[in-house]
Amino acid sequence: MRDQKKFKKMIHRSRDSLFSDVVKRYLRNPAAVIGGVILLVIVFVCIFANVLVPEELVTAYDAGAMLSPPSAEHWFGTDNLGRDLFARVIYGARITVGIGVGATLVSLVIGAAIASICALFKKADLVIMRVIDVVTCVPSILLALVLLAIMGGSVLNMMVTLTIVSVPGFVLRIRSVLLGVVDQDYIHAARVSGTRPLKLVLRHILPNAIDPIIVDATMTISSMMLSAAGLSFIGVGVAPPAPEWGAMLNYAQDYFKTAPYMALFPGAAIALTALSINLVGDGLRDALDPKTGK
Amino acid sequence: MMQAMQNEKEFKQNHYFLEAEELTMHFPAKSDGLGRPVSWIHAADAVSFRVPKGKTLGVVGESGCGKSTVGKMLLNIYRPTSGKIYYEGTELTGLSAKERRPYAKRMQLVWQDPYSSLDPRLRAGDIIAEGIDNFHLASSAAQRRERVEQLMTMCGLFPEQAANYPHQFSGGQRQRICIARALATDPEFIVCDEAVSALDVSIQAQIINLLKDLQEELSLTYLFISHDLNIVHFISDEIIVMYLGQIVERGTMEKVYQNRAHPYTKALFSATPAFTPAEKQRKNRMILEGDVPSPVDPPQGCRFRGRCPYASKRCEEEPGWHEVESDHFVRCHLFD
Amino acid sequence: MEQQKPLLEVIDLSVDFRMDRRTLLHAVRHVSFHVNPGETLGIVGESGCGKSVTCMSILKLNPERRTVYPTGQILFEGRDLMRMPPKQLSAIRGNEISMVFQEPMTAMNPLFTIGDQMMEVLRIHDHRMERSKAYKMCLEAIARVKIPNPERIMKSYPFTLSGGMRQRIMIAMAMVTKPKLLICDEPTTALDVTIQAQVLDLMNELKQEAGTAIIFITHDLGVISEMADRVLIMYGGRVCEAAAVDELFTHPRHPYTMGLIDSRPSPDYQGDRLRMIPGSVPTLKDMPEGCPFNNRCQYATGACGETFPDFACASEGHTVACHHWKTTPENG
Repeated sequence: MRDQKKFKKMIHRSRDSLFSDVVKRYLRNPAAVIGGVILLVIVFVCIFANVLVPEELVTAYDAGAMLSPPSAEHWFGTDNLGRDLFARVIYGARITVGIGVGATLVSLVIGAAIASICALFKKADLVIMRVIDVVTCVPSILLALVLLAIMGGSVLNMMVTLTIVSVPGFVLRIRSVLLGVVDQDYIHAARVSGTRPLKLVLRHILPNAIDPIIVDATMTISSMMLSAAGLSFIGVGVAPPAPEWGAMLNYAQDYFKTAPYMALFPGAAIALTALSINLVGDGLRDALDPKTGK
Repeated sequence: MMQAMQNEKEFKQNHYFLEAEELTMHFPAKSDGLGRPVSWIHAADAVSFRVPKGKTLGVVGESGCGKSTVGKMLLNIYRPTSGKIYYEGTELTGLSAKERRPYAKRMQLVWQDPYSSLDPRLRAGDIIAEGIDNFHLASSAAQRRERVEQLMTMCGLFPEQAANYPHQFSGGQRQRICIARALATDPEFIVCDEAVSALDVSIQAQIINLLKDLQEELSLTYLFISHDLNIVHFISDEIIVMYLGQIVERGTMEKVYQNRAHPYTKALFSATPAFTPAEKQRKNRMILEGDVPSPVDPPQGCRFRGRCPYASKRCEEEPGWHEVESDHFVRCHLFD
Repeated sequence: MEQQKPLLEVIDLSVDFRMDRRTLLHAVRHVSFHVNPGETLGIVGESGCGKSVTCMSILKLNPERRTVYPTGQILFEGRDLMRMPPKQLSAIRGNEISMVFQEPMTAMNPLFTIGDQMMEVLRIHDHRMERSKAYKMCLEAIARVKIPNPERIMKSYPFTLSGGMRQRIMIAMAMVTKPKLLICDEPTTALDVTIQAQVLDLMNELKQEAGTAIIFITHDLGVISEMADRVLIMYGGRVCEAAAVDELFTHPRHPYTMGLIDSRPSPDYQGDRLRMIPGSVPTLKDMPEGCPFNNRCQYATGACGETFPDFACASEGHTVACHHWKTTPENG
């Protein structure tokens, strides 16, 4: 009898019951939980960097301790200019993770919106595809260089540039996934039941296309972080004193033999971030699919 | 305006509440470099029929004959290339999307494949409630829940299963969900597109009985599309036989069954395997030569002539309609 | 009564599928039957009844790593295929026993022409066969399945042919080695009725010509009654009834067989509603104890939920596995 009541309560779905289902399934996956914890720590570090380490340390030159290995004073050692690497890695998280995640999220949303229009309306699709053909003719590195040269190097401009460069790719990839979903019977069925295009996209099409999109997005975050690093290295990216992880790796190249820790810590930070994002992505994909687990 | 009202009255008198007039659907098959089609798939060509109110019109034919296309045109999934659809005297094909919307509530579809026609990410209850939400048919969450429970019970499901996902149901139960979803908006007319073909034999009978029960209870009208003649024979009051996008024979079910006129209808009935010994004895088999031709640029004249054992010179011309008996028509030169 | 020695004898075959470390699904349980030379045996059942798995077991084509055969013997002309070394078995496969599958498109490689694929089958079994001889044999085989212009077909790719054509080609490929036994798994389910009639007709003709025995698997009672000499009804991994085809359709004794026959609308049926079997087809995971049909059977009693009934001989060559076969009303 109590079961019956419980069932009846469950019949009326509300947003949070669907959400709690996803959470339950997510928590059942240990790898995803570990990835999630690491990512939470990284996000925590990003937000509370100034609480953990005083900001002055990022650019404070310690002429007496250039290229010193990790010690109690400098946990991660110091670089060629005597700056504390621990502080730089901590503050670098804000820049690198911020650029990667921010640019990916923005371009994902824009890309998904354009792709949905393509999937639903044939005529718009024709026009949009031709525009994208033209845009993709320009090499993306060249486009990024030009944009950054015009706007000047700053964290915000870097994000805007990476977003512009990666939107066409997102549109193409998401569109091909959506086209597969749009022709499914249950989409037609929802239409016959009177579902309007916007609801159709949000409730039926995107949720069923989410797996490849999430995998795609998580991969993109790491590649965005690397692109940011590459652009910084060329000198059009984030300006030098800023502790961008990729840029730090690039400085470390010259001292790789004498001071390997200079590359080790930013490198490990990039790898750890990418790994945790990928684990979370995999976990989300499984958790969003009601077929996994009971 | 007066004319329209007159029409409407007439339709109601005749009990034909849905009429298709010269419905034609051509899909582009091949395109040239600029995306302009150079050849067309003739999915349906000048298909006209009337659906009697509260009855079942069976549509039979083999794959590629356009029977599903016809159903999808009626429900606005495909926009017909030409032709008109009248619903109780109103011409649906002339309406704007906004004007057409109320009719979406009154016409529904049950799909062939109960596996691909349910959104795998939604719970059964929400799938069924989709139409209720879209047309704001429930004023409160409690009312919505009540309606979903009522629909599920009506279709032989347990209301407790509303919280389950589609993959947790068997094929037959999934088809019941599809039917419940179709009924959610209180429709008058339902297109059943091969609604039992994907199911196991013992489950097919359950679904057919359910459809019949619902028809009586809610005075529904069905367009029952199937390739299975035995099932169409059992469920339909009237029948149309389609071949390569055209109707070749139409009439009341019993008359067409007893007195098959078109050579294709004869072949179709004889090809349907019989399993009772009595039936087997009665049957004279007629096996057709060759394959169904491609619907891309179909043959001129009678489309069946390439496979017809009685084909002659005159079949190169388009055949006209002939009355075999009252309420039974055939499109074949043999009846000239 | 049968004096001749059966061509194939399946004795007490069980097949389990290992899902993970703890679950073992019983797909087929204690199935026995035989096929006489030149005979068509029909196996009928709904999804998950084990009909395909049974036949795949004959050639050991079930997914190897997941399949366990706890009991059973499969005797083909007296040789036990179950315990045969893989090399010997693959010599029999496709040579003495051939198969035709439901979906002819997936059974062919879209990158090679029909001719290449057919000749390959021949040359796998006889490496020394000359190309010209193989070519000639294939042409003959295609001509035998009544396809006009075999030379053109040999040069075309699978996707350019219609479904009916492809299924004929599959039959031609299966018959090219002149097998003694042909296993057909739902060969006409994907085809239109008029094409199905052509293919069935062709198969009957070929069978008479070559004297090949056929095991014909289907869910379609109509097809089986036109094709088979004897019929095996399967449900939930068990055989529940076996009889000659006319006997089975006129005097079914198992409640499941009766339900199955009744639930098909026949043109002679006058009622307003179809008679139906309640409930749904059980999956392997929730197969009931005892007789697998007991939860849907109107005659079921306590005993049905405990033990699977022994086979009883209802009449000459007609066996039935039901606790209550004597008391159920006989259909006529």
